[in-house]
Amino acid sequence: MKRLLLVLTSCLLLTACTKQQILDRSTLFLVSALDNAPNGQLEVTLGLTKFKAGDPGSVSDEFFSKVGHTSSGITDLMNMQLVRPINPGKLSVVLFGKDKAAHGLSQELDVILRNAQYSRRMYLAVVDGEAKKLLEGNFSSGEEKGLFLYNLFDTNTRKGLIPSRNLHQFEYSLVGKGIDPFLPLLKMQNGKVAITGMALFKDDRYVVTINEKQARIMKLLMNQTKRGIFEAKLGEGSYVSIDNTGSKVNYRIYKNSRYPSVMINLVIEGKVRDSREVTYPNQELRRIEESIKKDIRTSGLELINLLKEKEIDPLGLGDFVRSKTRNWSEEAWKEMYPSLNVRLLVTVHLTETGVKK
Amino acid sequence: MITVPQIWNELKESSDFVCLQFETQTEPYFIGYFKSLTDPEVLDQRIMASLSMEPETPLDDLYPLIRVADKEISSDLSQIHNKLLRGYVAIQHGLHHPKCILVNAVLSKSRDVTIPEIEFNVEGSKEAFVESLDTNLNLIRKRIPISALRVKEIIVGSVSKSRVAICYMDGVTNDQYVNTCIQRLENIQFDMIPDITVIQQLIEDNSNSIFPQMLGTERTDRASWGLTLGQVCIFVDGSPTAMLGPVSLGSFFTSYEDYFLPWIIGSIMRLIRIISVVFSVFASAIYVAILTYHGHGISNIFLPTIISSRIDVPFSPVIEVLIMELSIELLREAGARLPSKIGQTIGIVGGIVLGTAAVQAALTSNFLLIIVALSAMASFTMPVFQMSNVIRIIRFPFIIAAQIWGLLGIYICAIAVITHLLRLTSLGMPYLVPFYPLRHKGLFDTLIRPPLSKFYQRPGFLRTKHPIRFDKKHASKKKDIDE
Repeated sequence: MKRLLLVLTSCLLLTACTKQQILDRSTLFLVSALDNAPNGQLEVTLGLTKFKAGDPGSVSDEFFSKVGHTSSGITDLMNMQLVRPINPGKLSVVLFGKDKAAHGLSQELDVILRNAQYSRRMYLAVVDGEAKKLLEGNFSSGEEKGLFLYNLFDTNTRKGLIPSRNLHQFEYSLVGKGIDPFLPLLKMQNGKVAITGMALFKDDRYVVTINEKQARIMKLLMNQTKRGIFEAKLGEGSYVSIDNTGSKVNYRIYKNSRYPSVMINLVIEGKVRDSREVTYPNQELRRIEESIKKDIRTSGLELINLLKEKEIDPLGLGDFVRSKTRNWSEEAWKEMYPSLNVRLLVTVHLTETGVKK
Repeated sequence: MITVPQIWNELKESSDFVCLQFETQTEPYFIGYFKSLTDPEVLDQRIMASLSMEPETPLDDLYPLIRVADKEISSDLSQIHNKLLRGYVAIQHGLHHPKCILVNAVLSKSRDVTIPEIEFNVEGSKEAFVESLDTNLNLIRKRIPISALRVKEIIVGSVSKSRVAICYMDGVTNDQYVNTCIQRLENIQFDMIPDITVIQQLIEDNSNSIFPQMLGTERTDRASWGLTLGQVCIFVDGSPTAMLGPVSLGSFFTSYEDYFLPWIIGSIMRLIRIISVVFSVFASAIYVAILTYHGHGISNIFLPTIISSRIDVPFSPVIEVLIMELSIELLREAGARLPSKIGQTIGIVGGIVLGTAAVQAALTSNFLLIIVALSAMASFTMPVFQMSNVIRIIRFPFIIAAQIWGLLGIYICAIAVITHLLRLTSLGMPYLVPFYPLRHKGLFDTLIRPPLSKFYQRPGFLRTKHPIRFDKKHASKKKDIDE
């Protein structure tokens, strides 16, 4: 009994060892923006949330920014302006200004990757312009901007058309060999925020942008997808749109010759959604399939050539070859990559044409 | 050396003891009894009538004339003394004669068999045990009319002299359990046995545990089912509850109604019960842990809901939870102490009025109110009342551990509880069986309610002498008459 009491009292003494962060007594932020500041400094903008009692629908935010050398130092200094201490645990979206991204992100990401409190599922994005300016714009029609942006990325990556890259995946492609990271690119268009394409990185530096059409092709070449519409031109201004019901992609490596070659095999299943001119698409299925195939193949090869030209590998072809090759060397791969033979095989099956006769 | 007249004199100190002197020509008859314990009808019509018809017969000749089945001639003074105190009538011929006729004229007042109040079932029989041991044994015998049902009676309690009956199935129940029960009952050193729960506490393997190691039931069908499976069943005169043992933790999750429903429905009910108990134990502790330490664990969709309901609450989560849990316990206690009609009013006033007012006054969050109310409701799904008390109490250490160490605290606390359960035994049988030690066949009747035709074996962990209940081959065949 005495021993038990001793254990229990020592438990109570240990309570001070853990830091309490009562959720509603700390200031949360869901979105933060990082920009370059003069003299090699960093400007951090945090969207601090304000909740209203009894009304979960109305969450507002207030933006605080500060210039300093490290982001955690800046965050700590911001506490001076706040009644409740900052709790970084809910950070869900980090935006980088284009300049910042071009200078390299690994230093800034270190603080996030080091701290276990940050969610690995947070989204990172590059802003075309200054990230702080984008956040200050009024684009979410009253909704909290962090939540808005989080939902924007969530919907578009999980259910939509852009390749997904959360913190965990970004870190993998940043640290991994034979693979380069990429992030969605945000832009303010007519007062609305839109994902206008992807920012492709070489190591941790932003190098080139691709547009949303290319981003969509990239997603097809990377993941299994179940969504998306393809438009195909059937000549003389007649268009047909195909709903993607499931696409599969697999990579193959051929090592017969001295240099390996990679074949990307893409199979798309789809159904006709909207056929403006063709009255009986049943008889035209082959033609439509051919047309879409050609379209995807051309733009796919274009994209791959662009990647080879810039010597970046967001698709992770190097990573794939590494997994199939004994004694793979990164230097040799990098040297060979621009002249790598990548073949793209596209198959399109149209399974149905809808209920209309 | 005590003599019969001394017994008369001693008992006469109580004003309800009567010692009649029936004069005859030779020696007078002395008739002693407690008028508070005897049935005047038996006394008048059976005893006094035969005495007055043949007033001159000696004692031995009088004996066959008394038309009562339960009677004897005894010269054992302590037996005379005890039987008088149980409502027997003693007849002595001549003051110094050592022999007495003892006639049973016990006036037994007991309420009628009523519907079960605690373990109420929608389906199934509606008879519950009552306070009279004989009635209870009658109810059991009627359900198991075979000679293998054995009843052993022991007197326990130096003051209350309670009759305790141990029932078991000969050839089925493991002798070890029966002998353990008898031995522990005989070893009881206690004066007053008002209820079977007192016996339970006295004979349990670990009386410092909050977990009941015997299963109390007021349902006759549950008790007879337990006997059939090979459990021991204990009754005490004066208690409307039977006690089954040995039990495992799993048996507290089974409601007897499960067996009356189709097996799929019964199994789902059982699963729901297990889930609700887990929820009930952990919900408010997890609330404390998440809000105090692990705020980043809440998804973005829930975040506004939780924070906006709590932002005006002046208490820290643990104080808020403790206040709410205590007020629910308060409502429960108040409801239990009051007559049922007023109890309902308490429920309405406490539950609805206080709950709404507490939220409006920003003393608690809506979210917590839902969690606390749900977990209180979930704890009521426990079919055995003793276990639902345990569920009520056990969440408090979890809440405090959650405040001290967050989710790690809940984990540590759960380990402590599981360790305790692992060490616990019921009449020597491990309490966590069939999970530990693992018994695959036992899982069959713990996690799910097996189809009756597949339930042809008694649970292996009861170590019965005859593990087969019925022939499996014949059970699955349907012998339709037109085939």
